[in-house]
Amino acid sequence: MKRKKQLIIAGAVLCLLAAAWGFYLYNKPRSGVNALQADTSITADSLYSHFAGNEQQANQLFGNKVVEVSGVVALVQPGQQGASVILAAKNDMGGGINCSLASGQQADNLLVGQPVKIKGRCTGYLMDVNLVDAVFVNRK
Amino acid sequence: MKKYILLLAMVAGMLATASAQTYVTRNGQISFYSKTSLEDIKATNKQVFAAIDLSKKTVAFSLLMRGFLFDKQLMQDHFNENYVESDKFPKATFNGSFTGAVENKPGKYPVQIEGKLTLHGVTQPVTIPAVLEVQSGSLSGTASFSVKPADYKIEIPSVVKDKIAQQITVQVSIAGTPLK
Repeated sequence: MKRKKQLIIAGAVLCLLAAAWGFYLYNKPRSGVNALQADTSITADSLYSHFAGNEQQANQLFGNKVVEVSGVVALVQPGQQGASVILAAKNDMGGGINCSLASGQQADNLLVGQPVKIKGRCTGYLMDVNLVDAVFVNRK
Repeated sequence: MKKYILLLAMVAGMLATASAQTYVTRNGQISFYSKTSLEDIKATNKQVFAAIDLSKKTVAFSLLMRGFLFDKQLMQDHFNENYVESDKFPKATFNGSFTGAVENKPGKYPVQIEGKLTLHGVTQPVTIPAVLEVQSGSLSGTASFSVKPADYKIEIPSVVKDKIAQQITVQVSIAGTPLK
C-alpha cells in the first residue's frame, strides 16, 4: 500500500516536471545570435555573389544559418524598433547585406565607409541578402 | 527637326517625372496579429522590399517569410517549419495597382489597392484600403487587411486551432525614398 502511494506521488511529480518543461519550452523567448557561434565567416562581397549567382544553392548554404559578415557600412537606416545597417557589396543592382539589428544594438555613431563585422541569422535574398537579429562583432 | 527636338524633350521630361515618382524601400515593415481568447500572437518583418510608382499607380511588395520574428522561439519555429513551410516557399509577394488621386504635393491620400498576393505558393486576389502620405522627398504608406490562412492552403493542426485566429490581421507600414 505504501509502495503504491509512493508510485502515485512519483508519477505526479514526473507529470508536473514534464508540464513545467513544456511550459518553459513554449514560452522560451526567441534566441538571438549573441550566444551562438557563427556557422560561417564571410565577406559581404562573397556572401552577396553566392546569392546573386545561385540563390537556391546559397539558401542551402546560408539560409537560417548564423553568418558573420565583414564589410563596410553603405547605409544606416534608423527604425522605430531597431535600426538596419546595409553593408556594401560589389554588384550593379545596388544590393548589399541588409542587417536588421537586434534590440539593444546601437547604430547611432556608425559612419558610411566604416569597416564592421556583423553576426546575424541569414533569412535569404531579395534586393539584398538579409540578416536578422544582427549584432556587432567588431566595430573599428 | 524642331518637332523632333520637342518630342525628345517631352519624352525626357516624362521619364524624369516617372523616375521621380517611383519610391522604394528595402526596410518596410509588415506585422501580423492573431487574437483569440487563448492567446495573442504577433510577428514582425522589418525587411520588406516595396516599390510604389505614383505615375503608373502600381504597388509591389516582396518579403522573406523567415524575416518574420516572433517573441517566442517555438512559435517562430512552428510558423516556418509547419505552417508556411519557409524552406519550400521562402518568399511572399504582392503586385497590384491603386485607385484614388495622389497628388505630387505633401498630404495624405486614401487609396484602394487591388492586386494579387502570393503566399505559401498560392496566389489570391486581395483588396487593401491604404493611406499614402506624400512628404517632401519621401512617400510613406500604411495599410491594414485580413488574410485567411485556409485561403493559402496553410493548415493549422487541430490541437492549436483554438489558439490561432481564422482571420489574421496584417499591418503594413512603409517609408519609401525616390528611386535614383
